[in-house]
Amino acid sequence: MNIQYAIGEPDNQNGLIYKQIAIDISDKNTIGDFISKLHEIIGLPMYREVTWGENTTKVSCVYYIQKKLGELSFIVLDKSRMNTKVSKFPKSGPNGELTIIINNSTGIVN
Amino acid sequence: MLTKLKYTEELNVQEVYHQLQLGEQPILIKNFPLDDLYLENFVLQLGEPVIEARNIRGKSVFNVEVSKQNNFFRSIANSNIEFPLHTDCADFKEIPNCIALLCVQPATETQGTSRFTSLSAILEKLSPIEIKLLTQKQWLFRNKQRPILQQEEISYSICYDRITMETFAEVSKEDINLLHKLDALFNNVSFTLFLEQSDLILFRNDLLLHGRSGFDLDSRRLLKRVRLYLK
Ligand SMILES: [Fe+2]
Repeated sequence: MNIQYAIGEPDNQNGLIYKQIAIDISDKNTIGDFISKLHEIIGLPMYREVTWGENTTKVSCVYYIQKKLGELSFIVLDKSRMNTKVSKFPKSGPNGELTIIINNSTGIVN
Repeated sequence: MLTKLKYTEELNVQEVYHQLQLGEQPILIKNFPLDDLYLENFVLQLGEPVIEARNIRGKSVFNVEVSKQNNFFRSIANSNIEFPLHTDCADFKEIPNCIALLCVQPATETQGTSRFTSLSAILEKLSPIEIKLLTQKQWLFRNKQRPILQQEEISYSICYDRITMETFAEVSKEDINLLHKLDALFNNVSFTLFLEQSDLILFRNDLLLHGRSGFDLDSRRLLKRVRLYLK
């Protein structure tokens, strides 16, 4: 399936660079499987290591799926949605691609 | 240390606003309605809220609760880990100067306790040389460079969040030792407060540092958070 993705902040669209790619996965798969595959393909870790003093912990990326082309409204993925089939999610790209933003920077602390 | 009010239909929002402008201490409002929309509208009377896609309905209210994704916490705020004294949004271009936290479900008593330190208490403990150093030395807060203390017209403001400072930049051993010393100093002049259900606490993000103690992973602790730019 064809998708477009960007890594960054959904609230700062100016800073986002969308890339179009094809992923070898059926939309009958779950969004959780899709996320794992996407990370694998783009070579981005699913977490960021967060550090202070002697403490360190891993914080997850957060995912936003755009609802409608040209609109800033998103489905924020959470645990409860990870078993939902990809086909159930909106495809808001200009050519009907699923549009996903992966945030691994802002908001990972507070 | 704390301005205490009780929520009624006649609560004087102007009084809350005035207290926040003075900025000396947090304002605790007891018996606040546990309703997201109500909180959103209350905050609108005080200033401009920060709107984020991850918030409830993409508006201003964020759930501070234990939440995981891919088996990792979604943020440190969304963990059960102790959160040292800090400024929220330390990496924002313009840092919101006020925070509202509404306690929906506290952790068990003695856990998840809030902690605050006022900038005035910090300044009292610093020598003029130390103050000068903290206004001059630049730190990287993700991609924003700024000092910990900023001199305003007649006073100072503070920006401190060592998790952001240490996660997004290589911090030298010497600087980590400095952060340890600052943490100790901030903690020494701090006070704690256990938020109870329906407590709304409002405080200045530029004049106070806040943090919380850790709590059990299976706790149902839930705070509703709104950040805002005071009018
Ligand atoms: Fe915070």
